[in-house]
Amino acid sequence: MLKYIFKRFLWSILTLWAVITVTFMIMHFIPGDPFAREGTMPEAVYKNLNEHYHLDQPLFIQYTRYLTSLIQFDFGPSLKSNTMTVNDFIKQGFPVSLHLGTQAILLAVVLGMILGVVAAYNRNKWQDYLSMILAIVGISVPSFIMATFLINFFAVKWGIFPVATWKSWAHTVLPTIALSMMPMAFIARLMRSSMLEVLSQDYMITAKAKGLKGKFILIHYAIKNAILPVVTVLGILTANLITGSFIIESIFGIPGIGELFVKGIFNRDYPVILGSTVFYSMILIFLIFIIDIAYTWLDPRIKVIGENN
Amino acid sequence: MKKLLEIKDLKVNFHTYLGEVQAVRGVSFHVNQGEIVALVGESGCGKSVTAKSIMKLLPTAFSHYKSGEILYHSMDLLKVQEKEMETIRGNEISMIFQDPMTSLNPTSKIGEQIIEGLMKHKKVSKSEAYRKAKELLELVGIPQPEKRMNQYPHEFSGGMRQRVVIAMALVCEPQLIIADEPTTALDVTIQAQILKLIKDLQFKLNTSVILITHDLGVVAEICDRVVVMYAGEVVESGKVEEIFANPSHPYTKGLMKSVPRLDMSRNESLYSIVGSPPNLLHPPNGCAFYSRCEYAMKVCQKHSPNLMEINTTQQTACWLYHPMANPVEKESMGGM
Repeated sequence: MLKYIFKRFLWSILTLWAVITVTFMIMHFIPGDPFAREGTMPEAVYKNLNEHYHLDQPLFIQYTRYLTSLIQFDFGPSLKSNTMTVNDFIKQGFPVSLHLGTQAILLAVVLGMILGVVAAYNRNKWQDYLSMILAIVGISVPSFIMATFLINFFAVKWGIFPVATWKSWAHTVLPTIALSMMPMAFIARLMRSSMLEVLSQDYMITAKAKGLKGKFILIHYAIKNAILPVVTVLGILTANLITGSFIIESIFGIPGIGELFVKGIFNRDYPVILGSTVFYSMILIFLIFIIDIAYTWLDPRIKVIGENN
Repeated sequence: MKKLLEIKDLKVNFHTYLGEVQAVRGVSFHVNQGEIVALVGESGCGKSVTAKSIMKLLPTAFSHYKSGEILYHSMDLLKVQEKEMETIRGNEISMIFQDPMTSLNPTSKIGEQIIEGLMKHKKVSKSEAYRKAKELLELVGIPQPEKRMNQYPHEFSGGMRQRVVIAMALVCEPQLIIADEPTTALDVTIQAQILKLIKDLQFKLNTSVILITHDLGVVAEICDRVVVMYAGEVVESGKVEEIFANPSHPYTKGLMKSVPRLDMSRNESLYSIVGSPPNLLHPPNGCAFYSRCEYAMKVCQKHSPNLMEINTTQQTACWLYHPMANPVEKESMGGM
C-alpha cells in the first residue's frame, strides 16, 4: 500500500508539472501581455514594470524561475495588486469557497442519493417521475437562473434568507442550494441507473430469501453495491465545488476564489492564472487519489496493483 | 410419514405486455418430513416459479397467485403477511439458488453473509454466530474456514461459492430446503460432490429437500420421490423406483428414453420428444402434451386429464389410465 501511495505521489507530481508547463506556454503565447492594455503608460514605466516582474527575460528563464518558487509553495506576486500575492488571495478566498463547496457537495450527495434510490425502488411510478423531473430541471437550468430565482423568492419576496454578503450561516443557505442543484441532479440520475442494475441482480433475491429486513437489504445489498459509480464522479464534482464558482460567487457577493481565476484571465495576470490552475489541479489530483483509495475499501474486488496476500 | 409441505392446485400468472402468462396451472404435490423430492421437467415448465412461490419470492409487480394453497405445517403461506413471511424465509424454509457466481453479495465478506440470517432469526450473539458459521463451512467442506470467512465471494471458485450458498441455506437449520438447480452452473466433478453433500446433510439433519433439476441422473441418485412437470402442470408423481422402472405418462416415458445409455449402439441416434411445449399465454383446452404425444386420443384434445392414481404412491395425469380407457390402447404402450 505504501509503495502504491508513493508511486501515485510521483505520478501526481508529473501530472502537475505537465499542467504547469502547458498552462505557462499557452499563457505566454496568446497575444498581449499584462501591461499592454494601459496604452497611456509611458514607455519607461512599462519597461520598468516588465523588468520588475522579470517579463523581459527569455521564456525559459521565466519558466524555471516560476518552477523554483513553486517548489517553495510560492505562487508569486499578483501583477495587478500592489500589496497582495497569489498566496494571499488563496488564503483569503479558499476557506470561503471550501465552506460553501463542502456544504453544497454534502447536500448534493445526500439529496441526490435519496432521489435516485426512491426513483429506482418505485420504477415507473409517480415517485420515479417526480425525482427524474427534478433531476432534469437541475441539470438543464443554468445556475445563474436558479440563483436569481432563489434570490427573487426566498430573499426578496418572502424574506426567509438574507443574501448578498458572507456573514452568518443563514447567508450560506441560498448559494449552497444554487450550487448543489447541478451535481445533485447528476448524482440522482447516476444513482437511479446504478440502483436499477443492482436491484435486478440475483443476490437481491438471495437477500430476500434469507428473510432479511427490507431496510437491511437496502443498505447492505442495494446501496452498498450501487454507490460505486457515484463515488467515481465524486472526486471531480467535489473539486469543482470547493474551488468556487465564479457565477454563484458573483451573484451572491461571496468573497471566494471562484472569481480569482476569471479576473486573472481578463487581466492577463500571469501568476494568478498559473496559481489558480495549479491550485485547482492539486486539489483535483488529491481528491482523485482519495477516491481511488476509498474504492479499494468500498469494492473488495478492486485491489491495489502489486499488493498480494 | 408426516406431510411438511402440501401444495394444492397452485395457479400463478404473470402479467406481460402480450397478456396473462399462465406459468403454473394447478400444481399439487406434497413433501414429507425428511424426504428429498425432485421436481423435474424441461425449461419453462414452471419448476422455478413453483419453488419461488413457496417462499413468495416472485416479483409482486407483475405476478399473482390466482388460486391454490401452499400449506406448510397446515398454515397457508399464500395468506401469510409479508412481515411473518420474513420470519419463515431463511429460517424455516431456505433456498439454494442456481448460479453461485451471482447469488452472493460481491461487496460483503462470506462470514457476514452467512451470519446475517442467523442473527436476524435466532437472536444469537455475533461471536456465537461466527462460531456456527465456521462449523458450517467445515461441514460443507471448505478448508481453513476461519480465513475464508474474511474473504469476499470473488476469492472463491464456483464450486466453493456453491458450498457457501449451501452453508448459508443451512445456517438456521431449516425444515425445508429448496434447491433450484444447485449444480447446473458447476462442472461435473463438482456436481457429484455437491449432490453428495446435500444428501449427507439431509440425512444428518433430517431436513426435507425439494430438488429442482432436469438431470435425471441426479434424481435417480439422491431423491426419494419425483414430481414431473410439464407446461405448468404436474403430469406424474411417484417414488423414484416407480418412475424409473415404470414411467406411466407419455411425457415421462419420453424423458426416460431421451437419456443416453451406455448400451446404445454407436450409430443409434438419441431419442428426443418431437415438438415444443405449448405457449402458456394461450394454453390448450385439452392435455398440454397432446400435440407431442404418440398415444394421443380424441379425448386428449378436448379435455385436460386430472391426476389419476395408478397405485397408492404413483399418480399420473393421462387419459390412458382412466378406468374407462380402451385396454387395447394401454396395451400398445407395453413395448416401450
